[in-house]
Amino acid sequence: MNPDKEKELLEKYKKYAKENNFKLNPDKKIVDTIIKGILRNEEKYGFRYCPCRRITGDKEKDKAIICPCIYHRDEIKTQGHCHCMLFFKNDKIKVKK
Amino acid sequence: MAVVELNSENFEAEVRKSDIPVIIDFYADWCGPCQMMRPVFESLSEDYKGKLKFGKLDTDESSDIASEFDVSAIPCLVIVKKGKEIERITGFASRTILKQKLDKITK
Repeated sequence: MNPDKEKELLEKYKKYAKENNFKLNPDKKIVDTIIKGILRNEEKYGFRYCPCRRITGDKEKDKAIICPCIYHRDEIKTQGHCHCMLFFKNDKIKVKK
Repeated sequence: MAVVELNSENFEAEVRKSDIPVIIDFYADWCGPCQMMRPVFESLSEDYKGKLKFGKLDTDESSDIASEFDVSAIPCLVIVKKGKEIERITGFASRTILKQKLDKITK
């Protein structure tokens, strides 16, 4: 795994979150795992697929799960975070464990 | 071991032919919420010993089984009783929420 690429992607998602009035998960370990998973998918499949969704192999279908996926806005609105817990609503950053 | 590592070789015996209901944690190593789910799942496996079997299945390694169960997002917990799915929870679930569901099933 390339640390520069990880840092670059993290910055990209931080910027994206800020622009859209979201926040990244405050748990750095979780964010780090997700970033690594996205980059692993890019290496393996050529696209930055969400590591919390299963890749079907149908490229047209799988476009929907390239991070940020097509579901994240609705999920953030209804659950307070996206399914993979990368993006959080600005006012909801606590998750009950 | 409290949580059984499931794969295509032991799935039939451990899940389909199990005498007690089985809860399967479909996960992947690079999924953040799956990592959060792990300690919750492991601690619950101690609480329901003898009543419920706890198994985990790596969706990368055993993608055939994940497809068979139509798992599209992980973590995904599927409860199987007498070979049939009776409950499904997709996404991270807190210990409290899981306990409520598991108590109902094991009553």
